[in-house]
Amino acid sequence: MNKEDGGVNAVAVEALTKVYGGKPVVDGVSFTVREGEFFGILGPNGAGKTTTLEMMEGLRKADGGSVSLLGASPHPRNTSLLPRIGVQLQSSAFFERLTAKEQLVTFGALYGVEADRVDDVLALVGLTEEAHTREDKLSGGQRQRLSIACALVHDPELLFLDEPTASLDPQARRNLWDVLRGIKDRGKTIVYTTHYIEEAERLCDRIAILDHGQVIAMDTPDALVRDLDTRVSMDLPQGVLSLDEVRSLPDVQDVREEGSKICFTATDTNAVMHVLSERGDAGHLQTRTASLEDVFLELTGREYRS
Amino acid sequence: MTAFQQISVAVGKGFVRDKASLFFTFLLPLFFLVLFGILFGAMEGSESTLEPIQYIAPGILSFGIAMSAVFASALTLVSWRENGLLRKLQLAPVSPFTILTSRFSVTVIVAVLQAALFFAVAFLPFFGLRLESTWWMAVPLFLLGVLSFFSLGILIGSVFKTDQSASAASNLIVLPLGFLSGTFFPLDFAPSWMDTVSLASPLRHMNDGMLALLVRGEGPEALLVPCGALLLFALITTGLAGYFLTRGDQ
Ligand SMILES: Nc1ncnc2c1ncn2[C@@H]1O[C@H](COP(=O)(O)OP(=O)(O)OP(=O)(O)O)[C@@H](O)[C@H]1O
Ligand SMILES: [Mg+2]
Repeated sequence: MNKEDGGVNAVAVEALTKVYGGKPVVDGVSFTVREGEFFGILGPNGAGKTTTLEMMEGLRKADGGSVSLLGASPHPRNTSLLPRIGVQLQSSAFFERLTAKEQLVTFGALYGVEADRVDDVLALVGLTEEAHTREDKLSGGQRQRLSIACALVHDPELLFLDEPTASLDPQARRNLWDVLRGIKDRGKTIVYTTHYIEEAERLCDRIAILDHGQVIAMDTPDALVRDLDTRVSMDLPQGVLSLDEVRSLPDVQDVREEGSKICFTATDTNAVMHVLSERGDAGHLQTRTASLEDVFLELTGREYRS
Repeated sequence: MTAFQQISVAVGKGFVRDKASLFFTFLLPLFFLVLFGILFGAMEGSESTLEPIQYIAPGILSFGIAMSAVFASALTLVSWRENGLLRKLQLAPVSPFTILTSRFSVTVIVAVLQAALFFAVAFLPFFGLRLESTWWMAVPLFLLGVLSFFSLGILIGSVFKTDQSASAASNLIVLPLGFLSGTFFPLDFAPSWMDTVSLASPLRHMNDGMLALLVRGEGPEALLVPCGALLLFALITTGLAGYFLTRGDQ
Protein backbone atom coordinates (compact mmCIF):
# COMPACT_ATOMS: atom_id res chain seq x y z
CA MET A 1 0.00 0.00 0.00
CA ASN A 2 1.44 3.32 -1.01
CA LYS A 3 0.87 6.49 0.88
CA GLU A 4 -0.43 9.48 -1.00
CA ASP A 5 -1.36 12.78 0.55
CA GLY A 6 -1.28 11.29 4.00
CA GLY A 7 -3.81 8.48 3.45
CA VAL A 8 -3.39 4.79 2.78
CA ASN A 9 -4.95 3.52 -0.43
CA ALA A 10 -7.70 0.96 0.06
CA VAL A 11 -8.19 0.71 -3.70
CA ALA A 12 -5.78 1.34 -6.55
CA VAL A 13 -7.06 0.92 -10.09
CA GLU A 14 -4.60 1.34 -12.90
CA ALA A 15 -5.43 1.57 -16.62
CA LEU A 16 -8.31 -0.87 -16.21
CA THR A 17 -9.77 -2.07 -19.52
CA LYS A 18 -12.56 -4.40 -20.60
CA VAL A 19 -13.46 -5.15 -24.21
CA TYR A 20 -16.74 -6.73 -25.32
CA GLY A 21 -17.19 -7.64 -28.98
CA GLY A 22 -14.15 -5.59 -30.02
CA LYS A 23 -15.54 -2.49 -28.32
CA PRO A 24 -13.89 -1.18 -25.14
CA VAL A 25 -16.61 -0.65 -22.53
CA VAL A 26 -14.08 0.23 -19.84
CA ASP A 27 -11.20 2.08 -21.37
CA GLY A 28 -8.11 2.83 -19.33
CA VAL A 29 -9.75 3.73 -16.02
CA SER A 30 -7.36 4.74 -13.22
CA PHE A 31 -8.07 6.03 -9.74
CA THR A 32 -7.26 5.45 -6.12
CA VAL A 33 -9.53 5.44 -3.10
CA ARG A 34 -8.05 6.23 0.29
CA GLU A 35 -8.87 4.21 3.35
CA GLY A 36 -12.03 5.60 4.93
CA GLU A 37 -13.01 7.50 1.83
CA PHE A 38 -16.49 7.55 0.31
CA PHE A 39 -15.96 7.36 -3.44
CA GLY A 40 -18.76 7.74 -5.97
CA ILE A 41 -18.85 6.65 -9.60
CA LEU A 42 -21.38 8.51 -11.70
CA GLY A 43 -22.23 8.05 -15.33
CA PRO A 44 -25.07 7.53 -17.78
CA ASN A 45 -26.56 4.08 -18.49
CA GLY A 46 -24.02 1.86 -20.18
CA ALA A 47 -21.07 4.04 -19.16
CA GLY A 48 -19.27 1.01 -17.71
CA LYS A 49 -19.89 1.53 -13.98
CA THR A 50 -21.01 -2.02 -13.22
CA THR A 51 -18.28 -3.49 -15.39
CA THR A 52 -15.64 -1.41 -13.59
CA LEU A 53 -17.01 -2.37 -10.18
CA GLU A 54 -17.18 -6.08 -11.01
CA MET A 55 -13.60 -6.10 -12.27
CA MET A 56 -12.58 -4.49 -8.99
CA GLU A 57 -14.49 -7.16 -7.05
CA GLY A 58 -12.75 -9.90 -9.02
CA LEU A 59 -15.98 -11.14 -10.60
CA ARG A 60 -14.86 -10.25 -14.12
CA LYS A 61 -11.41 -10.61 -15.51
CA ALA A 62 -9.88 -7.37 -16.77
CA ASP A 63 -8.56 -7.36 -20.32
CA GLY A 64 -5.91 -4.89 -19.27
CA GLY A 65 -4.69 -2.93 -16.30
CA SER A 66 -4.60 -3.85 -12.64
CA VAL A 67 -6.63 -3.63 -9.46
CA SER A 68 -5.32 -3.69 -5.92
CA LEU A 69 -7.71 -3.96 -2.97
CA LEU A 70 -6.21 -3.51 0.49
CA GLY A 71 -2.87 -4.32 -1.09
CA ALA A 72 -3.95 -7.57 -2.76
CA SER A 73 -5.17 -8.50 -6.21
CA PRO A 74 -8.82 -9.66 -6.35
CA HIS A 75 -8.30 -11.82 -9.45
CA PRO A 76 -7.82 -14.78 -9.44
CA ARG A 77 -10.13 -15.46 -6.50
CA ASN A 78 -8.33 -14.63 -3.29
CA THR A 79 -10.01 -16.23 -0.27
CA SER A 80 -8.00 -14.26 2.28
CA LEU A 81 -9.15 -10.98 0.72
CA LEU A 82 -12.82 -11.97 0.33
CA PRO A 83 -13.86 -11.60 4.02
CA ARG A 84 -12.48 -8.05 4.02
CA ILE A 85 -14.74 -6.84 1.21
CA GLY A 86 -18.53 -6.64 0.98
CA VAL A 87 -20.40 -6.50 -2.31
CA GLN A 88 -23.92 -5.54 -3.21
CA LEU A 89 -24.65 -6.46 -6.83
CA GLN A 90 -26.86 -4.35 -9.07
CA SER A 91 -29.55 -7.06 -8.98
CA SER A 92 -30.28 -8.62 -5.62
CA ALA A 93 -29.26 -12.26 -5.17
CA PHE A 94 -30.91 -14.40 -2.50
CA PHE A 95 -31.44 -17.99 -1.50
CA GLU A 96 -34.88 -18.95 -2.78
CA ARG A 97 -37.84 -18.86 -0.39
CA LEU A 98 -35.85 -17.90 2.71
CA THR A 99 -36.91 -15.08 5.03
CA ALA A 100 -34.90 -11.88 5.42
CA LYS A 101 -33.38 -13.11 8.64
CA GLU A 102 -32.58 -16.56 7.23
CA GLN A 103 -30.77 -14.93 4.30
CA LEU A 104 -28.54 -13.02 6.68
CA VAL A 105 -27.92 -16.04 8.86
CA THR A 106 -26.93 -18.02 5.77
CA PHE A 107 -24.67 -15.34 4.30
CA GLY A 108 -23.20 -14.81 7.75
CA ALA A 109 -22.36 -18.51 8.04
CA LEU A 110 -20.49 -18.34 4.72
CA TYR A 111 -18.16 -15.88 6.48
CA GLY A 112 -18.16 -17.64 9.83
CA VAL A 113 -20.19 -14.85 11.45
CA GLU A 114 -22.18 -15.57 14.61
CA ALA A 115 -25.94 -15.55 14.07
CA ASP A 116 -26.48 -12.98 16.86
CA ARG A 117 -25.03 -10.20 14.70
CA VAL A 118 -27.89 -10.67 12.27
CA ASP A 119 -30.49 -8.77 14.30
CA ASP A 120 -28.22 -5.71 14.48
CA VAL A 121 -27.72 -5.72 10.73
CA LEU A 122 -31.47 -6.08 10.14
CA ALA A 123 -32.08 -3.12 12.44
CA LEU A 124 -29.34 -1.13 10.70
CA VAL A 125 -31.17 -1.28 7.36
CA GLY A 126 -34.61 -0.94 8.97
CA LEU A 127 -35.90 -4.43 8.25
CA THR A 128 -36.57 -5.61 11.80
CA GLU A 129 -40.29 -5.89 11.12
CA GLU A 130 -39.68 -7.87 7.96
CA ALA A 131 -37.30 -10.34 9.63
CA HIS A 132 -39.67 -13.24 9.04
CA THR A 133 -40.91 -12.19 5.61
CA ARG A 134 -39.83 -14.38 2.74
CA GLU A 135 -37.53 -12.87 0.12
CA ASP A 136 -40.17 -13.22 -2.62
CA LYS A 137 -42.71 -11.31 -0.50
CA LEU A 138 -40.54 -8.24 0.11
CA SER A 139 -41.12 -4.99 -1.78
CA GLY A 140 -38.51 -3.78 -4.27
CA GLY A 141 -37.02 -1.30 -1.83
CA GLN A 142 -36.99 -3.85 1.00
CA ARG A 143 -35.15 -6.31 -1.23
CA GLN A 144 -32.64 -3.60 -2.00
CA ARG A 145 -32.06 -2.97 1.70
CA LEU A 146 -31.77 -6.69 2.41
CA SER A 147 -29.23 -6.94 -0.36
CA ILE A 148 -27.16 -4.22 1.29
CA ALA A 149 -27.54 -5.96 4.65
CA CYS A 150 -26.18 -9.16 3.09
CA ALA A 151 -23.10 -7.20 1.98
CA LEU A 152 -22.63 -5.83 5.51
CA VAL A 153 -23.22 -8.96 7.56
CA HIS A 154 -19.53 -9.85 7.91
CA ASP A 155 -18.51 -6.27 8.73
CA PRO A 156 -16.16 -5.75 5.76
CA GLU A 157 -13.53 -3.01 5.62
CA LEU A 158 -14.22 -2.16 2.02
CA LEU A 159 -17.73 -1.97 0.62
CA PHE A 160 -18.82 -1.98 -3.04
CA LEU A 161 -22.39 -0.90 -3.69
CA ASP A 162 -23.87 -0.84 -7.20
CA GLU A 163 -26.76 1.63 -7.23
CA PRO A 164 -27.82 0.91 -3.64
CA THR A 165 -30.44 3.66 -3.59
CA ALA A 166 -32.14 2.76 -6.87
CA SER A 167 -35.85 1.95 -6.37
CA LEU A 168 -35.97 3.33 -2.83
CA ASP A 169 -38.60 5.84 -1.76
CA PRO A 170 -37.31 9.25 -0.60
CA GLN A 171 -37.65 8.34 3.07
CA ALA A 172 -35.80 5.04 2.64
CA ARG A 173 -33.11 6.78 0.59
CA ARG A 174 -32.48 9.25 3.35
CA ASN A 175 -32.42 6.47 5.93
CA LEU A 176 -29.91 4.63 3.80
CA TRP A 177 -27.76 7.75 3.55
CA ASP A 178 -27.60 7.71 7.34
CA VAL A 179 -26.67 4.03 7.27
CA LEU A 180 -23.90 4.70 4.74
CA ARG A 181 -22.60 7.69 6.69
CA GLY A 182 -22.60 5.54 9.82
CA ILE A 183 -20.52 2.92 8.02
CA LYS A 184 -18.10 5.58 6.83
CA ASP A 185 -17.86 7.00 10.37
CA ARG A 186 -16.66 3.62 11.54
CA GLY A 187 -13.70 4.00 9.22
CA LYS A 188 -14.89 1.79 6.37
CA THR A 189 -14.15 2.57 2.75
CA ILE A 190 -17.10 2.77 0.38
CA VAL A 191 -17.11 2.69 -3.41
CA TYR A 192 -20.55 3.18 -4.87
CA THR A 193 -22.36 4.01 -8.08
CA THR A 194 -25.48 6.08 -8.43
CA HIS A 195 -27.55 8.08 -10.87
CA TYR A 196 -28.68 10.50 -8.15
CA ILE A 197 -26.37 13.44 -8.49
CA GLU A 198 -27.50 15.43 -5.49
CA GLU A 199 -27.06 12.26 -3.45
CA ALA A 200 -23.46 11.81 -4.60
CA GLU A 201 -22.87 15.48 -3.81
CA ARG A 202 -24.01 14.94 -0.22
CA LEU A 203 -22.39 11.60 0.47
CA CYS A 204 -19.15 11.41 -1.45
CA ASP A 205 -15.72 12.69 -0.57
CA ARG A 206 -14.76 12.34 -4.20
CA ILE A 207 -16.58 11.54 -7.41
CA ALA A 208 -15.45 10.09 -10.71
CA ILE A 209 -17.63 10.76 -13.72
CA LEU A 210 -17.48 7.89 -16.16
CA ASP A 211 -18.63 8.09 -19.77
CA HIS A 212 -18.03 5.67 -22.64
CA GLY A 213 -15.77 3.71 -20.30
CA GLN A 214 -13.48 6.64 -19.52
CA VAL A 215 -13.08 8.84 -16.47
CA ILE A 216 -13.89 12.30 -17.78
CA ALA A 217 -13.71 14.13 -14.45
CA MET A 218 -12.69 13.24 -10.93
CA ASP A 219 -12.57 15.49 -7.88
CA THR A 220 -14.47 16.52 -4.78
CA PRO A 221 -18.07 17.56 -5.52
CA ASP A 222 -17.29 21.20 -4.68
CA ALA A 223 -14.25 21.35 -6.93
CA LEU A 224 -16.15 19.76 -9.82
CA VAL A 225 -18.82 22.44 -9.60
CA ARG A 226 -16.29 25.23 -9.12
CA ASP A 227 -14.22 24.23 -12.14
CA LEU A 228 -17.16 24.09 -14.42
CA ASP A 229 -16.97 27.14 -16.63
CA THR A 230 -20.64 27.10 -17.33
CA ARG A 231 -23.15 29.74 -18.07
CA VAL A 232 -25.52 30.76 -15.32
CA SER A 233 -29.21 30.05 -15.86
CA MET A 234 -31.53 32.97 -15.21
CA ASP A 235 -35.19 33.72 -15.57
CA LEU A 236 -37.54 36.70 -15.47
CA PRO A 237 -41.29 36.72 -15.10
CA GLN A 238 -43.18 37.41 -18.37
CA GLY A 239 -44.08 41.04 -18.89
CA VAL A 240 -41.00 42.55 -17.27
CA LEU A 241 -39.07 42.59 -20.52
CA SER A 242 -40.08 41.50 -23.98
CA LEU A 243 -38.23 38.63 -25.65
CA ASP A 244 -36.38 41.08 -27.87
CA GLU A 245 -35.36 43.21 -24.93
CA VAL A 246 -33.96 40.14 -23.20
CA ARG A 247 -32.04 39.22 -26.33
CA SER A 248 -30.43 42.67 -26.30
CA LEU A 249 -28.96 42.15 -22.81
CA PRO A 250 -25.16 41.65 -22.73
CA ASP A 251 -23.93 38.17 -23.75
CA VAL A 252 -27.30 36.45 -23.40
CA GLN A 253 -28.09 33.11 -25.07
CA ASP A 254 -30.72 30.36 -25.16
CA VAL A 255 -33.58 32.82 -24.71
CA ARG A 256 -36.90 30.98 -24.55
CA GLU A 257 -40.32 31.19 -22.97
CA GLU A 258 -41.14 28.56 -20.37
CA GLY A 259 -44.65 28.98 -18.97
CA SER A 260 -44.86 32.21 -17.07
CA LYS A 261 -41.13 32.90 -17.36
CA ILE A 262 -38.54 33.93 -19.85
CA CYS A 263 -35.43 31.80 -19.39
CA PHE A 264 -31.94 32.49 -20.67
CA THR A 265 -28.29 31.98 -19.84
CA ALA A 266 -25.43 34.41 -19.49
CA THR A 267 -21.77 34.29 -18.51
CA ASP A 268 -21.63 37.56 -16.66
CA THR A 269 -24.33 37.84 -14.03
CA ASN A 270 -23.20 41.29 -12.98
CA ALA A 271 -23.55 42.85 -16.44
CA VAL A 272 -27.13 41.61 -16.71
CA MET A 273 -27.94 42.80 -13.19
CA HIS A 274 -26.52 46.20 -14.02
CA VAL A 275 -28.75 46.71 -17.03
CA LEU A 276 -31.80 45.48 -15.15
CA SER A 277 -31.22 47.63 -12.09
CA GLU A 278 -30.94 50.70 -14.29
CA ARG A 279 -34.48 49.93 -15.39
CA GLY A 280 -35.56 49.16 -11.85
CA ASP A 281 -36.33 45.51 -12.71
CA ALA A 282 -33.47 43.75 -10.93
CA GLY A 283 -35.73 42.44 -8.19
CA HIS A 284 -37.46 40.12 -10.67
CA LEU A 285 -34.33 38.29 -11.78
CA GLN A 286 -33.83 34.71 -10.58
CA THR A 287 -30.46 33.06 -11.00
CA ARG A 288 -29.56 29.46 -10.47
CA THR A 289 -25.92 28.60 -9.80
CA ALA A 290 -24.30 25.55 -11.33
CA SER A 291 -24.98 22.23 -9.62
CA LEU A 292 -23.28 18.91 -9.97
CA GLU A 293 -26.11 18.00 -12.30
CA ASP A 294 -24.98 20.77 -14.64
CA VAL A 295 -21.44 19.42 -14.48
CA PHE A 296 -22.70 15.97 -15.26
CA LEU A 297 -24.89 17.01 -18.17
CA GLU A 298 -22.26 19.36 -19.53
CA LEU A 299 -19.63 16.63 -19.50
CA THR A 300 -21.65 13.67 -20.68
CA GLY A 301 -23.89 15.49 -23.13
CA ARG A 302 -27.62 15.73 -22.83
CA GLU A 303 -28.65 13.03 -25.25
CA TYR A 304 -29.72 9.65 -23.97
CA ARG A 305 -27.53 6.67 -24.66
CA SER A 306 -29.17 3.92 -26.64
CA MET B 1 -23.30 -23.52 12.22
CA THR B 2 -20.63 -24.15 9.63
CA ALA B 3 -21.03 -22.93 6.05
CA PHE B 4 -21.63 -26.53 4.97
CA GLN B 5 -24.47 -27.05 7.45
CA GLN B 6 -26.00 -23.65 6.85
CA ILE B 7 -26.12 -24.01 3.05
CA SER B 8 -27.78 -27.42 3.50
CA VAL B 9 -30.32 -25.90 5.86
CA ALA B 10 -30.98 -23.02 3.45
CA VAL B 11 -31.46 -25.33 0.46
CA GLY B 12 -33.53 -27.74 2.55
CA LYS B 13 -35.87 -25.00 3.73
CA GLY B 14 -36.20 -23.71 0.16
CA PHE B 15 -37.13 -27.25 -0.95
CA VAL B 16 -39.69 -27.87 1.79
CA ARG B 17 -41.36 -24.51 1.10
CA ASP B 18 -41.81 -25.33 -2.58
CA LYS B 19 -45.03 -27.32 -2.22
CA ALA B 20 -45.37 -28.24 -5.90
CA SER B 21 -41.96 -29.85 -6.26
CA LEU B 22 -42.36 -31.49 -2.84
CA PHE B 23 -45.54 -33.13 -4.12
CA PHE B 24 -43.98 -34.44 -7.32
CA THR B 25 -40.80 -35.59 -5.64
CA PHE B 26 -42.62 -37.90 -3.26
CA LEU B 27 -45.71 -38.86 -5.22
CA LEU B 28 -44.23 -39.53 -8.67
CA PRO B 29 -42.51 -42.81 -7.68
CA LEU B 30 -45.69 -43.93 -5.91
CA PHE B 31 -47.74 -43.09 -8.96
CA PHE B 32 -45.51 -45.27 -11.15
CA LEU B 33 -45.64 -48.03 -8.55
CA VAL B 34 -49.43 -48.08 -8.65
CA LEU B 35 -49.55 -47.83 -12.44
CA PHE B 36 -47.10 -50.64 -13.06
CA GLY B 37 -48.40 -52.68 -10.16
CA ILE B 38 -51.80 -52.79 -11.83
CA LEU B 39 -50.34 -53.29 -15.30
CA PHE B 40 -48.06 -56.19 -14.31
CA GLY B 41 -50.65 -57.62 -11.98
CA ALA B 42 -52.69 -58.34 -15.10
CA MET B 43 -49.72 -60.29 -16.54
CA GLU B 44 -49.49 -62.65 -13.54
CA GLY B 45 -48.28 -66.09 -14.48
CA SER B 46 -45.69 -65.07 -17.10
CA GLU B 47 -42.46 -67.07 -17.25
CA SER B 48 -40.38 -64.70 -15.12
CA THR B 49 -38.92 -66.34 -12.05
CA LEU B 50 -39.62 -63.26 -9.99
CA GLU B 51 -42.96 -61.91 -8.95
CA PRO B 52 -43.54 -58.78 -11.12
CA ILE B 53 -43.50 -56.44 -8.12
CA GLN B 54 -40.10 -57.78 -7.12
CA TYR B 55 -38.77 -56.97 -10.51
CA ILE B 56 -40.26 -53.53 -11.10
CA ALA B 57 -40.09 -51.94 -7.66
CA PRO B 58 -36.31 -51.25 -7.54
CA GLY B 59 -36.37 -49.91 -11.10
CA ILE B 60 -39.25 -47.55 -10.42
CA LEU B 61 -37.61 -46.27 -7.28
CA SER B 62 -34.31 -45.61 -9.08
CA PHE B 63 -36.16 -43.85 -11.85
CA GLY B 64 -38.12 -41.66 -9.43
CA ILE B 65 -34.95 -40.72 -7.60
CA ALA B 66 -33.15 -40.04 -10.87
CA MET B 67 -35.93 -37.73 -12.03
CA SER B 68 -36.01 -35.62 -8.90
CA ALA B 69 -32.25 -35.56 -8.30
CA VAL B 70 -31.40 -34.54 -11.87
CA PHE B 71 -34.12 -31.88 -12.01
CA ALA B 72 -33.41 -30.42 -8.60
CA SER B 73 -29.67 -30.09 -9.08
CA ALA B 74 -29.94 -28.74 -12.64
CA LEU B 75 -32.56 -26.17 -11.68
CA THR B 76 -30.71 -25.12 -8.54
CA LEU B 77 -27.65 -24.30 -10.60
CA VAL B 78 -29.69 -22.47 -13.25
CA SER B 79 -31.60 -20.37 -10.73
CA TRP B 80 -28.46 -19.57 -8.73
CA ARG B 81 -26.81 -18.38 -11.91
CA GLU B 82 -29.88 -16.42 -13.01
CA ASN B 83 -30.51 -14.62 -9.73
CA GLY B 84 -26.84 -13.84 -9.19
CA LEU B 85 -26.41 -16.02 -6.12
CA LEU B 86 -23.62 -17.95 -7.81
CA ARG B 87 -21.61 -14.74 -7.98
CA LYS B 88 -22.35 -13.88 -4.36
CA LEU B 89 -21.10 -17.35 -3.41
CA GLN B 90 -18.00 -16.75 -5.50
CA LEU B 91 -17.37 -13.64 -3.38
CA ALA B 92 -17.65 -15.54 -0.10
CA PRO B 93 -14.70 -17.46 1.34
CA VAL B 94 -16.27 -20.88 0.75
CA SER B 95 -14.96 -23.44 -1.70
CA PRO B 96 -17.03 -24.78 -4.61
CA PHE B 97 -16.50 -28.20 -3.03
CA THR B 98 -18.28 -27.12 0.17
CA ILE B 99 -21.17 -25.66 -1.80
CA LEU B 100 -21.55 -28.74 -4.01
CA THR B 101 -21.29 -31.25 -1.18
CA SER B 102 -23.76 -29.41 0.99
CA ARG B 103 -26.19 -29.19 -1.92
CA PHE B 104 -25.56 -32.90 -2.49
CA SER B 105 -26.33 -33.72 1.14
CA VAL B 106 -29.85 -32.32 0.63
CA THR B 107 -30.29 -34.51 -2.46
CA VAL B 108 -29.22 -37.56 -0.43
CA ILE B 109 -31.65 -36.80 2.39
CA VAL B 110 -34.49 -36.32 -0.08
CA ALA B 111 -33.60 -39.59 -1.86
CA VAL B 112 -33.54 -41.52 1.42
CA LEU B 113 -36.95 -40.14 2.36
CA GLN B 114 -38.27 -40.99 -1.11
CA ALA B 115 -37.03 -44.56 -0.70
CA ALA B 116 -38.48 -44.91 2.81
CA LEU B 117 -41.91 -43.75 1.67
CA PHE B 118 -41.73 -45.89 -1.44
CA PHE B 119 -40.88 -49.08 0.45
CA ALA B 120 -43.47 -48.37 3.12
CA VAL B 121 -46.11 -48.34 0.41
CA ALA B 122 -44.64 -51.23 -1.58
CA PHE B 123 -44.65 -53.45 1.53
CA LEU B 124 -48.42 -53.09 1.78
CA PRO B 125 -50.18 -56.41 1.11
CA PHE B 126 -51.66 -55.03 -2.10
CA PHE B 127 -48.18 -54.76 -3.65
CA GLY B 128 -46.55 -57.40 -1.47
CA LEU B 129 -42.88 -56.44 -2.00
CA ARG B 130 -40.43 -58.54 0.02
CA LEU B 131 -36.76 -57.61 0.39
CA GLU B 132 -33.87 -60.04 0.86
CA SER B 133 -32.02 -59.80 4.17
CA THR B 134 -28.99 -58.42 2.30
CA TRP B 135 -30.86 -55.22 1.32
CA TRP B 136 -28.65 -53.00 3.51
CA MET B 137 -25.63 -53.87 1.40
CA ALA B 138 -27.24 -51.85 -1.37
CA VAL B 139 -26.74 -48.61 0.58
CA PRO B 140 -23.37 -47.69 -1.03
CA LEU B 141 -24.84 -48.45 -4.44
CA PHE B 142 -27.82 -46.28 -3.64
CA LEU B 143 -25.58 -43.35 -2.60
CA LEU B 144 -23.41 -43.68 -5.70
CA GLY B 145 -26.54 -43.74 -7.83
CA VAL B 146 -27.77 -40.53 -6.19
CA LEU B 147 -24.30 -39.01 -6.74
CA SER B 148 -24.44 -39.91 -10.45
CA PHE B 149 -27.86 -38.29 -10.90
CA PHE B 150 -26.76 -35.24 -8.94
CA SER B 151 -23.67 -34.73 -11.08
CA LEU B 152 -25.68 -35.34 -14.26
CA GLY B 153 -28.01 -32.53 -13.10
CA ILE B 154 -25.07 -30.23 -12.38
CA LEU B 155 -23.71 -30.99 -15.85
CA ILE B 156 -27.07 -30.14 -17.44
CA GLY B 157 -27.28 -26.95 -15.38
CA SER B 158 -23.78 -25.93 -16.43
CA VAL B 159 -24.55 -26.35 -20.14
CA PHE B 160 -28.13 -25.02 -20.29
CA LYS B 161 -28.58 -21.51 -18.93
CA THR B 162 -32.36 -21.10 -18.66
CA ASP B 163 -35.10 -22.82 -16.67
CA GLN B 164 -36.90 -24.04 -19.77
CA SER B 165 -33.90 -25.42 -21.61
CA ALA B 166 -32.53 -27.12 -18.49
CA SER B 167 -35.81 -28.83 -17.63
CA ALA B 168 -36.36 -29.84 -21.26
CA ALA B 169 -32.87 -31.32 -21.33
CA SER B 170 -33.45 -33.14 -18.04
CA ASN B 171 -36.64 -34.69 -19.43
CA LEU B 172 -35.02 -35.61 -22.72
CA ILE B 173 -32.19 -37.35 -20.94
CA VAL B 174 -33.85 -39.03 -17.95
CA LEU B 175 -36.97 -40.40 -19.70
CA PRO B 176 -35.06 -42.37 -22.37
CA LEU B 177 -32.68 -43.55 -19.66
CA GLY B 178 -35.70 -45.02 -17.90
CA PHE B 179 -36.67 -46.98 -21.01
CA LEU B 180 -33.12 -48.00 -21.76
CA SER B 181 -32.37 -49.23 -18.31
CA GLY B 182 -35.07 -51.77 -17.65
CA THR B 183 -37.26 -49.55 -15.51
CA PHE B 184 -40.39 -49.94 -17.57
CA PHE B 185 -39.75 -53.28 -19.19
CA PRO B 186 -37.11 -55.97 -18.67
CA LEU B 187 -34.12 -55.63 -20.98
CA ASP B 188 -34.24 -59.39 -21.56
CA PHE B 189 -36.81 -58.69 -24.26
CA ALA B 190 -34.97 -55.67 -25.73
CA PRO B 191 -32.78 -55.74 -28.85
CA SER B 192 -29.14 -56.34 -28.02
CA TRP B 193 -28.00 -52.86 -29.17
CA MET B 194 -30.23 -51.40 -26.50
CA ASP B 195 -28.60 -53.54 -23.91
CA THR B 196 -25.19 -52.26 -25.04
CA VAL B 197 -26.23 -48.60 -25.13
CA SER B 198 -27.77 -48.87 -21.69
CA LEU B 199 -24.34 -49.67 -20.24
CA ALA B 200 -23.65 -45.93 -20.44
CA SER B 201 -26.69 -45.15 -18.28
CA PRO B 202 -26.31 -44.80 -14.52
CA LEU B 203 -29.90 -45.99 -14.11
CA ARG B 204 -29.04 -49.31 -15.71
CA HIS B 205 -26.27 -49.97 -13.20
CA MET B 206 -28.33 -48.81 -10.28
CA ASN B 207 -31.14 -51.14 -11.40
CA ASP B 208 -28.78 -54.09 -11.87
CA GLY B 209 -27.25 -53.70 -8.45
CA MET B 210 -30.53 -53.04 -6.65
CA LEU B 211 -32.17 -56.07 -8.26
CA ALA B 212 -29.26 -58.30 -7.37
CA LEU B 213 -29.17 -57.21 -3.75
CA LEU B 214 -32.74 -56.38 -2.89
CA VAL B 215 -34.65 -59.19 -4.52
CA ARG B 216 -32.26 -61.80 -5.94
CA GLY B 217 -30.33 -62.16 -2.71
CA GLU B 218 -26.93 -62.10 -4.40
CA GLY B 219 -23.80 -61.27 -2.39
CA PRO B 220 -21.87 -57.99 -2.25
CA GLU B 221 -19.64 -59.07 -5.16
CA ALA B 222 -22.65 -58.36 -7.40
CA LEU B 223 -22.16 -54.68 -6.52
CA LEU B 224 -18.62 -54.29 -7.78
CA VAL B 225 -19.41 -53.62 -11.43
CA PRO B 226 -22.47 -51.37 -10.82
CA CYS B 227 -20.66 -49.33 -8.17
CA GLY B 228 -17.57 -48.92 -10.35
CA ALA B 229 -19.67 -47.87 -13.32
CA LEU B 230 -21.60 -45.31 -11.25
CA LEU B 231 -18.44 -43.87 -9.78
CA LEU B 232 -16.93 -43.53 -13.23
CA PHE B 233 -20.10 -41.86 -14.51
CA ALA B 234 -20.09 -39.39 -11.61
CA LEU B 235 -16.42 -38.55 -12.15
CA ILE B 236 -16.87 -37.94 -15.88
CA THR B 237 -19.99 -35.79 -15.50
CA THR B 238 -18.46 -33.78 -12.66
CA GLY B 239 -15.32 -33.21 -14.72
CA LEU B 240 -17.35 -32.05 -17.72
CA ALA B 241 -19.49 -29.79 -15.53
CA GLY B 242 -16.34 -28.27 -14.05
CA TYR B 243 -15.07 -27.61 -17.57
CA PHE B 244 -18.30 -25.91 -18.70
CA LEU B 245 -18.62 -23.90 -15.48
CA THR B 246 -15.12 -22.44 -15.62
CA ARG B 247 -15.28 -21.89 -19.38
CA GLY B 248 -18.48 -19.85 -18.94
CA ASP B 249 -16.65 -17.53 -16.48
CA GLN B 250 -17.15 -14.34 -18.55
N1 LIG C 1 -21.24 -9.53 -20.40
C1 LIG C 1 -21.30 -8.56 -21.33
N2 LIG C 1 -21.20 -8.86 -22.65
C2 LIG C 1 -21.24 -7.89 -23.58
N3 LIG C 1 -21.40 -6.60 -23.32
C3 LIG C 1 -21.51 -6.22 -22.05
C4 LIG C 1 -21.47 -7.18 -20.99
N4 LIG C 1 -21.60 -6.53 -19.82
C5 LIG C 1 -21.73 -5.22 -20.14
N5 LIG C 1 -21.67 -5.03 -21.47
C6 LIG C 1 -21.76 -3.73 -22.14
O1 LIG C 1 -20.85 -2.85 -21.54
C7 LIG C 1 -21.38 -1.55 -21.43
C8 LIG C 1 -21.28 -1.07 -20.01
O2 LIG C 1 -22.18 -1.81 -19.18
P1 LIG C 1 -22.30 -1.56 -17.63
O3 LIG C 1 -23.27 -2.55 -17.11
O4 LIG C 1 -20.95 -1.56 -17.02
O5 LIG C 1 -22.92 -0.10 -17.58
P2 LIG C 1 -23.40 0.74 -16.33
O6 LIG C 1 -22.60 2.00 -16.34
O7 LIG C 1 -23.36 -0.07 -15.10
O8 LIG C 1 -24.89 1.10 -16.73
P3 LIG C 1 -26.23 1.22 -15.81
O9 LIG C 1 -26.22 2.62 -15.27
O10 LIG C 1 -27.32 1.06 -16.80
O11 LIG C 1 -26.19 0.17 -14.78
C9 LIG C 1 -22.81 -1.62 -21.98
O12 LIG C 1 -22.81 -1.09 -23.27
C10 LIG C 1 -23.11 -3.09 -21.98
O13 LIG C 1 -23.95 -3.40 -23.07
MG1 LIG D 1 -24.78 -0.81 -13.81
